Amino acid sequence: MQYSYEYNGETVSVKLERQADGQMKATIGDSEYSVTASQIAGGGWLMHINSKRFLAHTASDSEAQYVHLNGTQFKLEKVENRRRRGKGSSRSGDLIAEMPGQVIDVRVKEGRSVQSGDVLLVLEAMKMEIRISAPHDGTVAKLRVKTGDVVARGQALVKISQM
Amino acid sequence: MITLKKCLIANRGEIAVRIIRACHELDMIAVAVYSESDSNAKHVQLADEAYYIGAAPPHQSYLDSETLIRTATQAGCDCVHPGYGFLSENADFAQAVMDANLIWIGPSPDAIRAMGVKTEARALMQKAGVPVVSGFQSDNAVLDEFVTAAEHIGYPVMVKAAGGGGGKGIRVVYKPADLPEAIQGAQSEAQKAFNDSRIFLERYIEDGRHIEIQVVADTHGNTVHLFERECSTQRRHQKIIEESPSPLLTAQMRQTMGNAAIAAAQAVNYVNAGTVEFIATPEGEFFFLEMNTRLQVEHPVTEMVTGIDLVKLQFRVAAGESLSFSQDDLTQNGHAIECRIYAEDARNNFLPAIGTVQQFIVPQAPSIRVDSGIQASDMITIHYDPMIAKVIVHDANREAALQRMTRALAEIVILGTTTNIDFLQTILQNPVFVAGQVDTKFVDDNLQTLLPDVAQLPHAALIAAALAKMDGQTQAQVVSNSDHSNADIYSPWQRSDNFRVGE
Repeated sequence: MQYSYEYNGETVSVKLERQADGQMKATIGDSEYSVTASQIAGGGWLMHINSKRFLAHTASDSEAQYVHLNGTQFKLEKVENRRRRGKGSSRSGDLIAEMPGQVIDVRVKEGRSVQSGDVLLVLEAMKMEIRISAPHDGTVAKLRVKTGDVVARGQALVKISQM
Repeated sequence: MITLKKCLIANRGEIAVRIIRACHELDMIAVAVYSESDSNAKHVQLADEAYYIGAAPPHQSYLDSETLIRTATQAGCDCVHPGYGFLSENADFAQAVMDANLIWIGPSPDAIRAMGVKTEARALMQKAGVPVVSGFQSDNAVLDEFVTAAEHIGYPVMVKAAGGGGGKGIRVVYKPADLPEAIQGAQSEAQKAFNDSRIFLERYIEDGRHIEIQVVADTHGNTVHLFERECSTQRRHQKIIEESPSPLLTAQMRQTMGNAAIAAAQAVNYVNAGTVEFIATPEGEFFFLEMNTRLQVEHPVTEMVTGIDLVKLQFRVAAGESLSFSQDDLTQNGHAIECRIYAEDARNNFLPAIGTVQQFIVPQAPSIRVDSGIQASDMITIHYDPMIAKVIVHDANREAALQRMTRALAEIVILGTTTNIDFLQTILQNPVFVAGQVDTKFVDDNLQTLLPDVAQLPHAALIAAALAKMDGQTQAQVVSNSDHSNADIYSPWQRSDNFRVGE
């Protein structure tokens, strides 16, 4: 079975196969490993990979698979999720929330013309304010949020059409 | 036996947890309050009683002083501890607590007010003989007077708001041409933030070190200091790493600054725990910056080197007890360091991160302390400060403490959100930090070299990810099979204990 993730902008894949002797074979590119693993409480694996010992903690959510190994956390993004997000952000002219937050101020109305740099709305999260500004001159074609809305990272906020 | 019986803790997160524990050790009943998004939080679980106080945004709950005082009164509390942040430096709230016949665990409203207006605090400190940086203040000066004053002080100068802190209204000006605009900008920002457009000028010490002195005063006229904490490792005025002793201070400087801090506290008749912040130059000059009239985030560093529980001491002082020690009884043992763990993405401009913490494993080892308000399955929400835990270590000297911290950070597992742990690790390894020479500008000036590279993905991590995915898929399959009553009851995937793959 082949498993693929996005890591640091690149697709990474591993093939896991069960062997006749009960061991697993992992193939990553040209490298082959024999793997045994036992699950640990809370989520994770004590692995022997080519007889070398590794302790990894794991968890996952809809966005990513998280792995903690030797003091470093790795976030492997789920490929299917990236594709979905890719579509969402490709709508031309839509500005996206760069962080999750609450809309605390909406300064424009649909149909209004704006100039590059005009503040359109203000997001707040954890005491930080982020101003969403017009990237170019244009018209507010679609306002997708209102004051008080809680938005997720990557969510479309407002669409500015070109003049 | 302490005379206080029952305390309302007007806060949340790690500091609420910290205060609840102190209450329990003093045989006091701890009353927690919580907002809509905190109903299952650790501080609510640990408290003896917990009351809902409103919606998640702070001004509808943790900043709602009327509801907090009503809750304290109805619950039969005899005191209120504000923690840090929220209402802790709000003199009106302190007064309202006292007017409701509750004891305020902190200094008097007058002391909070005196230190809150920065220009007044400067004047008071000058009178008390505490060194302040050269500056200029005048409530009705015209622009020309500010320009002349800035020439006299010398550039760079800082334009600051008289009415408040928190970085609002602060501008650093490097040349005369930029001064008028900075003054206007600071005035309008100060007007918006504090409803007070007054500003003042101060010499800006570029390569300064942030060194603060912990003080405690009782109601019987005793004031002592509990040595320094150095907090120069900051990003945009936000502290990241704190330690005690400061690598900069000599015994002589420590004593001089300690005495200055005591003088500062006495000048406002300070009672309870507080912190006097100084900026020190590499040449050994130091100047008063401000006084924080509350418990500090980084108080554990002082607790580790002095062996004194500051929160319990706060309760004892508020109950009217005398300090049980004098200045001469206090010593600074070994070296302590604190790292603040923030839910933020260093590589994405340090924007706050959210998520559900699915695993939260902290080291339990000698002289490692982790103060946190979260536990596994908690959501990190957008409403509150992104600081989710503090790691504090202690050892015989700085070098050993750094090693212990490096080890502790490597062992911490926080999965389900993004944290600054790798950023902290690169700072701990930086030669300037190791040499104890970081000033307050260091992190901002060297951000590019301090940002950790994206770690190469080890094959073992990828294999662990695939194992977890395979495990999840198989378990999902088992669940759907059992729906059809033909589940393979002998499948190893149904075993939740220590089952093995590939053996």
